[in-house]
Amino acid sequence: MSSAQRPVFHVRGLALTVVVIVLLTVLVGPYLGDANPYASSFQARIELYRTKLDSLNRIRGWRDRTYMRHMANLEIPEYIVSKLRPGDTLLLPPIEYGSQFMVTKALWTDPRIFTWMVGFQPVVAWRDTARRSSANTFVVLEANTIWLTRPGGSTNIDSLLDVYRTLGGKR
Amino acid sequence: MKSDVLLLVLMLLMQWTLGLLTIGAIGYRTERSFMLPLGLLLGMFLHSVAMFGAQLINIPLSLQTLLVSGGVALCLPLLRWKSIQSTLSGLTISPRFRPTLYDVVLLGFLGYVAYMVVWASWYWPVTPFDAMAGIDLVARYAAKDGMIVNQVFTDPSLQGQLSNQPFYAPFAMLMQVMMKLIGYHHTQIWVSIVALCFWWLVWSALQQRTHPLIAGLLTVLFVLTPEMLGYSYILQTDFANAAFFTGGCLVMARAIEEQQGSGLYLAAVAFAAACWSRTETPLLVLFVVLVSMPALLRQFSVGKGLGGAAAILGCSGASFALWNVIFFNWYLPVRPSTAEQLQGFDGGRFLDVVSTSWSSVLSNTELWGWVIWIFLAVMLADAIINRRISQPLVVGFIIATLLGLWIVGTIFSAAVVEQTLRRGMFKIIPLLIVAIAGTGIVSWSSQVLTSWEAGRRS
Repeated sequence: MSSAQRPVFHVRGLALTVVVIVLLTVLVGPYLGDANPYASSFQARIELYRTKLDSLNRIRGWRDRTYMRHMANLEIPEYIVSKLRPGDTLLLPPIEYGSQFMVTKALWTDPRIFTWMVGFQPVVAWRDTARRSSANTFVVLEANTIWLTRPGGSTNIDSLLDVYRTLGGKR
Repeated sequence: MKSDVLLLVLMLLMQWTLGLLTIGAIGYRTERSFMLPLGLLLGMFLHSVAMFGAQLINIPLSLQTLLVSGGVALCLPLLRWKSIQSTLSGLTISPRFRPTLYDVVLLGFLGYVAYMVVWASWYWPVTPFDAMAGIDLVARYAAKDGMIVNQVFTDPSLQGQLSNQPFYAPFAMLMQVMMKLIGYHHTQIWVSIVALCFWWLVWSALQQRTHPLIAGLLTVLFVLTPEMLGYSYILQTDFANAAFFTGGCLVMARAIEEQQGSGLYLAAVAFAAACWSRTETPLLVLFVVLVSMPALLRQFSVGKGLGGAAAILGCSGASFALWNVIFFNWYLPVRPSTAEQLQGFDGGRFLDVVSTSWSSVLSNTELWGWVIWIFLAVMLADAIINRRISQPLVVGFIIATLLGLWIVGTIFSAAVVEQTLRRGMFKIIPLLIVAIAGTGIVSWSSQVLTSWEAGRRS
């Protein structure tokens, strides 16, 4: 229909405007409860950001914004890289080992995600069985604790690799 | 104004002009409100192909390459200047759009959603796993090293660990490279620009079919489709793919209805863009062409109809082959394991995919809102009352696309119904919305509304 045919302002147009406002309000508001999938989606994807727009806009650094999205999946690779020494080749643990103490999946154990977070580093993926034996640095996780261990240190590497194998083999 | 903002505006203007000139060179006549969003979408695609072409002849990726490749691509359609002049002459006529009060309310609401979507795509860094492990990882080092064949494909730490993500169809990756080259290193602003064009395109298609109020409300339902809303600002291949695919379907349907042969060639470009943005799309395009063959042969001469179908399949095949055959075989040092994931067609698995997709994807209102149920109800009511299927071509496209997605889910072992087919539905939802708008019931409602609004008896 051509818009030229419609009266720009008319009582009937006003009535239709009221209808549109009511429909939009019901569509994105909480009035229909769980029966309305649009309301919860709109809340989570649009309204949530609008309510926090000012405070979010004050966070300008990309590291902070990335942290808000990825949390430990950014923090752990950053910590690991800060502790790597020249000559270290780090074995990334299986995801099941990493996820033990995380609320979300330990995506950082995937070498592609590790690289996305902190750039190229001397790492070997757990699934890379051909290069696994070249690793000389290992990640140990406990509740609220993470450290790197090397042969000759206080941690028994064979026991640690057994734990990796047990958890990683579950897949 | 900061230089990155200026460069973004310049790049978008260049892409928009490129897309519009291409539509003009093809000679497809359509409404301005449909041509404008389609122009920007196609411009993005053609610019990404031009930059990829520069890379194929070993020109490093840089800001200069981005601008020069765009400039060169801009010159090519000018070879058909007369066609451009006659096709695009309507672009400069002053707009006839007279918004009523409810148009303002609807546009205000959609503008608010658009603002938040653009903000989110600018504010948040890349988040989905697939994008971090593939699209953005490759783009980051392509922009840094100046080559798509970069450290990601050669570094020992990733050898044998790449899986499929870095080999995804290149449109999203190339757009990320462009964003990084102009100074937006962490964001995905182009995703929201594609979303705005997509919404505009669907709104325009709805306006052609029904009363502006109904078109506006259906556009709101489309924009707010729960699963699609999130993807309008996060980086994935599917949303752009759906925009191109829908553009192709809408142009093709109109071209057949109006017997405009040039529309088939424009649809070919749009479908090629869809194949440039997701790898399994050629199969869906094949089904769409097959389903439209009777109409093609009825509306055009056999030669013209077959020529149009061949152009669509040829362009789609060429854009698929450019990345998946030429680049993989002659440029990339490593290959994806996609071929290993192909398995023979199995009837049992097909039925399993169909039933799972219905139970966990199609019937889920948490994902698609009420659109699928409204479509089924309206189509059924329309079939009973009017004893016909309205817009059989669009309905055929929906069925063909769904069938294609089921087959993809059956023959690719890596295609998970809840993931791959779920995002594949992005291509179907806009077609459902357009199909709803074209039914006899909605047309009748539209006429009643028009008469009532104008104070006439219906």
